[in-house]
Amino acid sequence: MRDAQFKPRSIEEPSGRKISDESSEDGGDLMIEGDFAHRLLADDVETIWLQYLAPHRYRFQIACKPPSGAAALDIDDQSLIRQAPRCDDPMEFEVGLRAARLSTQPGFEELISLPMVREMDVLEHQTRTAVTVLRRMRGRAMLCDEVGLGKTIEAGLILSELLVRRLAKSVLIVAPPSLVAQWQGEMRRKFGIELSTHDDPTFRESGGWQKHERVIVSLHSGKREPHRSAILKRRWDVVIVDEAHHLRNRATEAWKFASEIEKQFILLLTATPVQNNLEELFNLVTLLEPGLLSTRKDFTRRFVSRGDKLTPNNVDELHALLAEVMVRNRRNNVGLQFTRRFARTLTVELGPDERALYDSVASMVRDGLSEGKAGSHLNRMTLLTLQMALGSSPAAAAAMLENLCEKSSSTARHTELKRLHEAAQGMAGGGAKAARLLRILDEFPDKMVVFTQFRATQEMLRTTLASAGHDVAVFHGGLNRMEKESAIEQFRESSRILLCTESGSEGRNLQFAHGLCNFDLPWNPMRIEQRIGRLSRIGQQRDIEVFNLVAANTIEAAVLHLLEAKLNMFELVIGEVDMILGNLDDEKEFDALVADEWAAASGADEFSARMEVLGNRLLAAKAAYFRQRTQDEKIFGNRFAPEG
Amino acid sequence: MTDRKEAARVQTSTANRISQSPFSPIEQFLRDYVVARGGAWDEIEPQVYDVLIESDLLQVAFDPEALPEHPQAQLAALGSPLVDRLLSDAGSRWNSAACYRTGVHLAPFNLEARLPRAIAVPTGATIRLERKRAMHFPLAVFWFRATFTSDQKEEVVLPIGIDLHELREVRQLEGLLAFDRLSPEPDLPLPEAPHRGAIAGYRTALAHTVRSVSPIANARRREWAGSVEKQIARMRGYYARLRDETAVSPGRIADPAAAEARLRDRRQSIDREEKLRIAELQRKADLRVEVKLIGLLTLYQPKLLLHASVVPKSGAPWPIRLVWDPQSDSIDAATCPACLQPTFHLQIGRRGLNCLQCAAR
Repeated sequence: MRDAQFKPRSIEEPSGRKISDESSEDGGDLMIEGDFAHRLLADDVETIWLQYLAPHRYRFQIACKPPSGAAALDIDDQSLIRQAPRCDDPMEFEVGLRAARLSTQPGFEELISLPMVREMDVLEHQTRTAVTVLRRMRGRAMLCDEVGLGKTIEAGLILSELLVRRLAKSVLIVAPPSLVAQWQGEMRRKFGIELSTHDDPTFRESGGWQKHERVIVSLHSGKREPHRSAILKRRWDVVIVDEAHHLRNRATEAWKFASEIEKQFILLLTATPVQNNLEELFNLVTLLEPGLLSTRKDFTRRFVSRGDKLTPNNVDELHALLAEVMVRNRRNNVGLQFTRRFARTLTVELGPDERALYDSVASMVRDGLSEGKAGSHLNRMTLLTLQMALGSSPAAAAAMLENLCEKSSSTARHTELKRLHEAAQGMAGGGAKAARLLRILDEFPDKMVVFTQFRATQEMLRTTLASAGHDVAVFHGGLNRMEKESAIEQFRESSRILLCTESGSEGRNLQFAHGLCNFDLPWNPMRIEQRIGRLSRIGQQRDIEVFNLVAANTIEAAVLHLLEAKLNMFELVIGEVDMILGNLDDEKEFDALVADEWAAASGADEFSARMEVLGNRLLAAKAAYFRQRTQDEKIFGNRFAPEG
Repeated sequence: MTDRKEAARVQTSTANRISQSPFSPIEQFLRDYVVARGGAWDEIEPQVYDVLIESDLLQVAFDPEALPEHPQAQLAALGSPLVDRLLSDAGSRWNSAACYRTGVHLAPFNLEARLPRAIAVPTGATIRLERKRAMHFPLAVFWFRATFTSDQKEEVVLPIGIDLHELREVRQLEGLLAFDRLSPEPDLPLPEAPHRGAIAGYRTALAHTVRSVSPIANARRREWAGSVEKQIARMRGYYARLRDETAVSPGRIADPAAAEARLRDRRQSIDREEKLRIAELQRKADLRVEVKLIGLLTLYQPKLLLHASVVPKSGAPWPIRLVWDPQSDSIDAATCPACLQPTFHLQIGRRGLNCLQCAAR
């Protein structure tokens, strides 16, 4: 203002009224009096400036603070604004901005945990389910997909999303005892979620139930003291109950336990919410949202037909209520059409030496099993593994026998084991099944995945096939990550055959091949199904050809007969085997049942008879499953698909 | 410093080229973050990196499967402690910047003729360009993060640009924020145009943002509160019916006192459960909204300050200041001195040159 060029000669109020016509020539102070002076000094004035109008002519302008309550100046925001710029490089600022965006969590329509999912392809219906449960159902839902559509994956996605967004911290998963380890494994491998169990050695030392935030417990243990009280004493952000049909009965300890848990989000997973009567459905829904289906009496009056407890009344009204908490994907509405599977069983007669070896080792194993824990120097697990190795190949048996021989303390046993080892070693270069595999490869011209449970068998096959001029890729759990990638790439590009153990192959995409050979057969059909699942998945264009190689008159032959003749395993869709085995009402895994029968039988004939009985149980379980399926169709129909 | 920046720029451009390949956003961020910190990375195998930041050497794996082979590596995934720490550091380290827009053409064609077409003046009056002056006009771009939290959490980032000279919102930010056309140094040493300061800009920006966020929050609140109210009502009805059913149930206990005690226990248990379940629901329904400033970029844009006059049929000319914006190649709206609102229509009223509304008062 002291510069003559800018000296104001006329200054106005914002209204245009003149304050002074001439400021003093000596550049002295401008005197402002009256109302406008008070206005300038008012509390709400934030900025005052002179607006240039014309040479030597200016007008006061005032900017006011917003009224109190509106847009208060946040203290952190204020410091960000008032500080000097933190960087002068736009590219650095862009990185900072990107960081802010990456740490911003969008709505649930976008699952931010999805990129972290490993070892599998998440299917569209699974993401739709997760979004529906998180958005519309606010994290309280019953996941009742048909078997094989991935309820566990859906629950994992939902859980993962809640954890990543920090909407949940504590997690309790309740599962049947036989599935605890599987859940732990799947959550770790696929979602990076570590779950503790109360029987972990460090669980109690590190604070027990009150300190551990992510725990899995079997329903059996959870509902019993001291775990029950400890679980009920605290609040859980997320509770997931797998195989929730165990909570169908309101009178059970299990239902009461689940009902009393304090939780914010809850997922009940079951493919069969109703088995004997519709009240079971009421009991499950009441765990999620008490009152949704009113009281039990009211529910029965409104929704259950007299005389038929499985037939619903007022179906539309019932469906409308259930749709608030229930998702049920069905094969025919998820667009998941797997190609067919054609299985061929190729029974191989063992040569005399191989037969003799098989019979000797099998006899030793059976003796060991029947001696029981006290009498046998080898434990049950070792004996069964030896039996399975024997069923795989002489090479696998030789490797195990050698190991046992080294550890044997008894001279007589050592001598026997040594003799068997030498016999097996003499045949380790091949065997009748290996010879048959070479013929299969001649007959089947495309890429083929050959599965075995044993590394020694895999190595023998690699040598045998390479000698026969086949280009072979080898995949097993002992490879590191890059070697695994490389093996799959080699199979995709140049090799016709992939020799594969189950270990580590989960999640690898092998659907560019459509031929599969079970060189040996796991006794558990679930593992056979998992093998087929490597090829029979989204993206598979062709029908799957399955070759099952078994030696005649072996346990594997008996198991395969059961699976084919009684279960029709290869005609079932993925997941159905699991459902049927679940209907066996046995706490034991199927392979353990087979092992029991083997151990209990005095000879081959008795074993066959016992397997027949087991087969009949399988038939009954299968029939129960099909009845259940029909009943579910009647009760639920095609409703309850997730949105999107 | 310059060398570090240059090296960083080279590595950034390398990273950008690599970004054509399928890196996850987190992996690309780590690469760029390390470069911006003046550090270095070495991809020892796909998705596994040795990273040097200042004197800290760490190994990072983006694939959990790589961890068994690289036990010393830290897993980098959204939600992992490492990534959370890096994102937080980058977000606070580089949350404000000041830079210049470069490569701007400041010689508009035939501005004198375009002026009367851009600004309407009273009938009989004319508008005349007196002189023009190139200056740097500050624009503040505020990035606000609005967080909606209940049992769900949703965040949105809302950028808003405020012209600090006129204190009004700037449209079409995308064109202005091409980071390759921003520089720490100006093309020309121009004077800074008068402006109202970042605090005033912040208040304007915040007010605009709150206006955008409020309807979303209200819609969310209405949508969820409606559903929760329905659920709570249903639940209250359920527990009331349970109590009624308990009352009419005769029970099998012969002793009336024992029966009464049992009934009382049962009712208390129902009351407790009702309280617990309704509290669970109410906790879920509580929606909180927070709006937070997460980034501020002050951007100096070269523009022309136009000194013009509105010359009436009779009387003295009225001076007016306008701004020509090279980004849009147009003359910005004038600011009404009375109401401070933008206008393209000027009128001479009792209090001078105003917008149509103010002149009519």
